[in-house]
Amino acid sequence: MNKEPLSIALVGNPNTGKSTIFNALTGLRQKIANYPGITVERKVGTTIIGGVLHKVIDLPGAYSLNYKKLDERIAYETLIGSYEHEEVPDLVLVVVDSSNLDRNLYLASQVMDLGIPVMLVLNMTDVAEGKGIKINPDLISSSLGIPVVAISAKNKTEIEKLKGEISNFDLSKPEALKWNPDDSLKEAMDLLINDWIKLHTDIPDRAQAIEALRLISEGDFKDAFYTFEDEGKGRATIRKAQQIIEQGGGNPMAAEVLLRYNFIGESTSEAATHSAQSEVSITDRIDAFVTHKVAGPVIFTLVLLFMFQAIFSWATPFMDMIDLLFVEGGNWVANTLPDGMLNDLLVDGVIAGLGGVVIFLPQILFLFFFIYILEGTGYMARAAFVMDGFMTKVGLHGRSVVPLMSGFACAIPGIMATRTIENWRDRIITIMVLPFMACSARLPVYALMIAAFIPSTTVLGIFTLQGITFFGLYIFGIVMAVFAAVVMKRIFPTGQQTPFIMELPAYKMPKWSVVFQNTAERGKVFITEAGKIIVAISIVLWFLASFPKTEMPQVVQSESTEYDSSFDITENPESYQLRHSFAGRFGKMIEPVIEPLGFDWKIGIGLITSFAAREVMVGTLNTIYSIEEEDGESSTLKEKLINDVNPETGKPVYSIATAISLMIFFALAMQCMSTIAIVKRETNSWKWPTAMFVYMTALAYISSFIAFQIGSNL
Amino acid sequence: MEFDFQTGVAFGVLAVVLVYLANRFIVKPLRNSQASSDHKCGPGCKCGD
Ligand SMILES: Nc1nc2c(ncn2[C@@H]2O[C@H](COP(=O)(O)OP(=O)(O)OP(=O)(O)O)[C@@H](O)[C@H]2O)c(=O)[nH]1
Ligand SMILES: [Mg+2]
Repeated sequence: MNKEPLSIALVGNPNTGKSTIFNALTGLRQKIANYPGITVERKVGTTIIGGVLHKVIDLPGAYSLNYKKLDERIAYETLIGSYEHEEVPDLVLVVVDSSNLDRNLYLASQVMDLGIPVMLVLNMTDVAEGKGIKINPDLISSSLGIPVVAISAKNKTEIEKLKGEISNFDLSKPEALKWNPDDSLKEAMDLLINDWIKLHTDIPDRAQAIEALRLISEGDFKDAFYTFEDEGKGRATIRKAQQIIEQGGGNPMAAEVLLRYNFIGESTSEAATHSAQSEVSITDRIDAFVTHKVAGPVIFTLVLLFMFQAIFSWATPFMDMIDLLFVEGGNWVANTLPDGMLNDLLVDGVIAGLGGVVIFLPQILFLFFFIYILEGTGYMARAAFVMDGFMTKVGLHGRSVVPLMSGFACAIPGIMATRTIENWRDRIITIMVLPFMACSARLPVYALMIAAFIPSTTVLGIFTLQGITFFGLYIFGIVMAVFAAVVMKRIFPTGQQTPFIMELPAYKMPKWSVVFQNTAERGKVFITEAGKIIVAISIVLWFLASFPKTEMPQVVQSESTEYDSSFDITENPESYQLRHSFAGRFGKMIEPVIEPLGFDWKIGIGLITSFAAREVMVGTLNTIYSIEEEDGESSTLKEKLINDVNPETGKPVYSIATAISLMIFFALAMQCMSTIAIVKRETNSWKWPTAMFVYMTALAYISSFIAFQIGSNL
Repeated sequence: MEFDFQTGVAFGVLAVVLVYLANRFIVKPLRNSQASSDHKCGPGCKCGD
């Protein structure tokens, strides 16, 4: 029994279920999806086994310890003990996909050379069984010399079995180099270890063999992983080691790989048996269509179109309900609380601001529900595959696709996911264009403008013009991202492309509990995170829009002298007060800048507050319009926008051209402080976030200008 | 503008909110941007460029 608290690391190829096991052990909710490259950070949690509290570390997936990318390097550094001064794990669980045993064991055989206790977790036994693969864990255990547990991480009782095995493990270390490197490889490794690694790095003895092998197959340092002065000597030593292998008739890049695979083949030949029939799997049959050259993109487009149409139509009844709730709630507060400043602040500031945004909760929930289904089934990987074909045609790197797709939810996880891109320039370019992907924070703005100004004409029976516009905005985001990337690629050539091979995971039924939990979680984040900021900003805005108190001069109220009298002036005292408030004056001051885009000062205020978070725009508009509204009236924000009239011209403030210009502005402008902060963190410099802010916002301004000028002159 | 109970509470709320916003958008981001990336830098790049 293990009575001492351990630190347990989960290592394995991408998409083998590490995070699923991590979540089951710790009760945390790390992101899980059916495609590779989901986890890109190290995550720590705890689990109690037999009354002892152990630490559990979830790591990004890696195919081998010869890391090429930042996410793989995190796994490597954790194992050799050089990760940010964190201790070396006491136990490594190598999680493998039982339906793809041999390839998965490659990493396991490398980890066994690190001198850390290792346990092999054969996960996805249910999938393997479905494929007719039978595995005998005991045989594998005796040939590898490490404990082996076979589980399906979806099954709670099997997680208990894993816990039992952990608690019974005596923590003996595996025999290193069990795969028997041949003499020349051994000689080369010794040379590197003695002449270079021991002298110039602080890699511990137990990990030096693995580091030597990594250097031999890489042939160079590639990145400044550790500091050293004698770089030239290091290169010469690596070269010498490679020559030893070449003289022995081997290939330095392949020697380790071949020997390890021989070893693995011998270990599993008896232990794993495939039942004879090798018919085409369901996954392959579906993929014949879904990844087809022509059908693939068509299916992808249709999937998105259906999704956005559904988001738009299915959410409507729920949105009407929420709307009613807030209007009634506002009226109730207004009538119950005695008249006074707090009453106004609550009704016009807090309730209006929050209500303006909460109404979009149903659409957000549907959006994430669909995204989680696409991810859970494995379709997202096919979408990435289809996009990849297109991306490589325009000269972009295929690896950018998955991060770009995660940008549909939010740019931040997308930017984190660029850690899976090897080439630094490719990575930077992907980061720089990622915020064009239509994140969920834009949804409320798009939905409001579409609901108010795009007719709901039915098209092709099941679609509406509104749904199609909505879908079009998402496509617009993708197109702009690709376009910007192509331009940047011209300016900063990224050199030769390393081929991108993406593994297409087998289709799976999504785990419904995960889908619903994650969707609910997203809803909660939307309400609490965005909600807090929106309420706070609405309150400040309410003050700025309510002071200083100005009385409407009688003369304007009765007989218009200031304005063109060819139309009826219906400005009420509230509206007059608003225009002369701090917010109104400030808005008027900036109006000339945004007027060419078709925006009035109220939109201008919304643009400024939306830099805190894009959703705040909608809350701001609702607050401003509620203050302006005469007491007792209550209409929805949509109606208020449609009916708003410019008191100076008598024309409606909004036209279709204004709405389109505003949507384009939101599609392109960099209005998210959190994204700026994460870009600063990931690139370690202010240069990139600044450049991003400037070019995106300039592009937004110019595009909206063109759109409005064309639109309003048609 | 007379200063009654409701006005007092309203301004109290404003003060709290201003502190929250300052913390959320000025203090925290500044502190976070001091802390460097949880990794030195991307492969192939020179740190701090
Ligand atoms: N059928 C089946 N599916 C599983 C099992 N374990 C995990 N999955 C599914 O496999 C997919 C990948 O799981 P993750 O936990 O995200 O895999 P990961 O190893 O953390 O992946 P990366 O973070 O990308 O390296 C998800 O769709 C899981 O629901 C299992 O035992 N059986
Ligand atoms: Mg994971």
